[in-house]
Amino acid sequence: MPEKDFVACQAAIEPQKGPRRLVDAAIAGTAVAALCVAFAVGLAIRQLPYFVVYLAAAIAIALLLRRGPMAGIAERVGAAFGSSRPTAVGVLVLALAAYPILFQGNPYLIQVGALSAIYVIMASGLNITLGYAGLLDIGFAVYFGAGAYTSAQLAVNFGVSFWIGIVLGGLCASIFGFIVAWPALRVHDHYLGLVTLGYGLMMNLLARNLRFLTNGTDGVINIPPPSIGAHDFTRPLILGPLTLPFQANFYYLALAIALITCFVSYRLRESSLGRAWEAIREDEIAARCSGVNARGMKILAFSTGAFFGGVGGSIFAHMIGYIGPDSFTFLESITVLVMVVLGGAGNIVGAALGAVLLVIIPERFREFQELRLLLFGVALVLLMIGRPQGILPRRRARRLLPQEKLAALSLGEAGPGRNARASSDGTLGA
Amino acid sequence: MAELLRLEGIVTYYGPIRILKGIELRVDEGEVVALLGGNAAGKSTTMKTILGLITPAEGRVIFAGEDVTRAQPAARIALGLAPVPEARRLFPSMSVYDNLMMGAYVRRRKAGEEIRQDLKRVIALFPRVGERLNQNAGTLSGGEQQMVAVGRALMARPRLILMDEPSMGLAPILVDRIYEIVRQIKSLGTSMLIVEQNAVMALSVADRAYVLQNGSLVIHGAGRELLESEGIRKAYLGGAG
Repeated sequence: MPEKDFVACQAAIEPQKGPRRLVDAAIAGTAVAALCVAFAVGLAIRQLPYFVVYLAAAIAIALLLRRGPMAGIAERVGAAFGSSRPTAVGVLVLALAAYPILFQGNPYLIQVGALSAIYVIMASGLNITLGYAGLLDIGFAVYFGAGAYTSAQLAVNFGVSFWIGIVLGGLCASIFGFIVAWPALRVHDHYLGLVTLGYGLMMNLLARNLRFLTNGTDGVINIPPPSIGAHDFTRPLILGPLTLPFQANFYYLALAIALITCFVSYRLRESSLGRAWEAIREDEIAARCSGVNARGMKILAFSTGAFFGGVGGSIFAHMIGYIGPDSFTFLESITVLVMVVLGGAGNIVGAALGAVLLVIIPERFREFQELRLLLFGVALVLLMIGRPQGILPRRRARRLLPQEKLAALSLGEAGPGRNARASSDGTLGA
Repeated sequence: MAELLRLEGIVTYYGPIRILKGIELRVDEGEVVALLGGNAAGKSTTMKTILGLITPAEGRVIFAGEDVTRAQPAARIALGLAPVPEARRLFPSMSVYDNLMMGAYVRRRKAGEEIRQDLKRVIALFPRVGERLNQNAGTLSGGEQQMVAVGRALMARPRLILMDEPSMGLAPILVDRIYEIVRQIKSLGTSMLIVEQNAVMALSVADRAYVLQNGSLVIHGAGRELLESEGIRKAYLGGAG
């Protein structure tokens, strides 16, 4: 399997000639557009029986593309993605921007979209802690709460603007990340999970009882919505000839910040910092032996992840207008954790996809309040049997050197052929 | 020659058990020193003490003129210490390229061009590694992994390479290759401290050698001398070599 992936990757990064590159871009763009349309259709179906049929069809097609006669198509599309990532991302961003326009008659769906984007921000944050650095954090709701309370209280009591509050909320959340990371990083793996779990429960209790900070179980109410200049986010969004429901304001806000979050976490992964986190996850002792300050890096991973958790919480508070202890319970932590694990820990697109699915699917099954958690559990178990690494595993997201760079590194004019000779008559090749 | 590394009276405990009982050792600039001994002699503990993974109860570790006894591994590595750990300890699901770049981690703020030149140099030394830059390190053969581990250490432009059992788990022909590489690194003027059970191989390149037994250094001499001394061979190095 790894070998096969490697060959596929090699094929994907071979230097492309002009026409082939255009074809690839077209394929990747079409594939993304098709996925988006399929997704929109799923959202547009209102009757539950039809939706179940739709889900079954989607899963069947996914399975066919994976193992069935259509596997060739999937491989071709995968190769196209490898070489035309910017096109794919561009089409996706356009589709996301078009979403509120498409569903302007249905404010509820736009609200769900905004909520999805908020969870994408949080899942991307946890993806840094869990996916990159391999640190199990089951107290992620703490950062959500810290960000939400900070910007909410600042806005309600001191009239601080949302735009300042969101940054302070993120910073306050990363302090909460630091507070748990500093002592908790003496333990590893599941024990770390347990400590952070306890931290989450403890902070929730504190929020219920420290009335002077949080108003206790009453929570903070009447949180003012953000505004840009004279434009208030509770008023309809007017874009030229279009008048979109006010939820679109929050949708575009959360979408923009989610895209920035994904971009930042992509840049982090490609940096030497990301490499150090990955090394810690792989083998902490070996990472320390390469000069990585493991403890410092782990605390940094916690705080960075927490920052995005806080940003997400802050947007949430100003969108809903209310924040209380029930908004960031243990279940909330588990939800974000499942989003990352289900989507694919370490994979940015995977974590984002996990977040979107876990917001939208429960919303679709609202009719089954009682059965929701049960269905959710069954789905999760099935998925972990079928794809234990998540929907989009880490391996597929690994950075690879393009062929040009590889050639430049191996002794000027040398290609693989010359290297092979060198190792057969030279002394150093094993 | 200038002194690079010195251990002064190192005593180390694991719980109540005294592992190292007063080690005195030095490595000079440009020198290759072997540290030999059987199982449980204290070789790995000595290595960990030098790296800073263990803090000794008594004694001092001096590297590049600085007392690093209480310094974190990262600080020592920044001073020019580069380990090739026991059993290689690559990052298995990272690419070979990323593994090599981890070696240059302490130099990450330096110019990319300088690091790229070093990468080219490592690839020139190990063409086989250069062919597999995009492959996951865990999918390489044992010999290739050892080369990546050595390459990773070289990427740090170290003053002293610490090799922990480079021959462990490798076929004899690969052990020969690895020692050829060790000779090559020696000819470039980099100092090395090689911890080995395979005494004959290590002594064939070492300028000097120490023999460790039960946590104490029992013999110290020039590499050739030890190799040729029949009595020492029988007593400490395993007669069969």
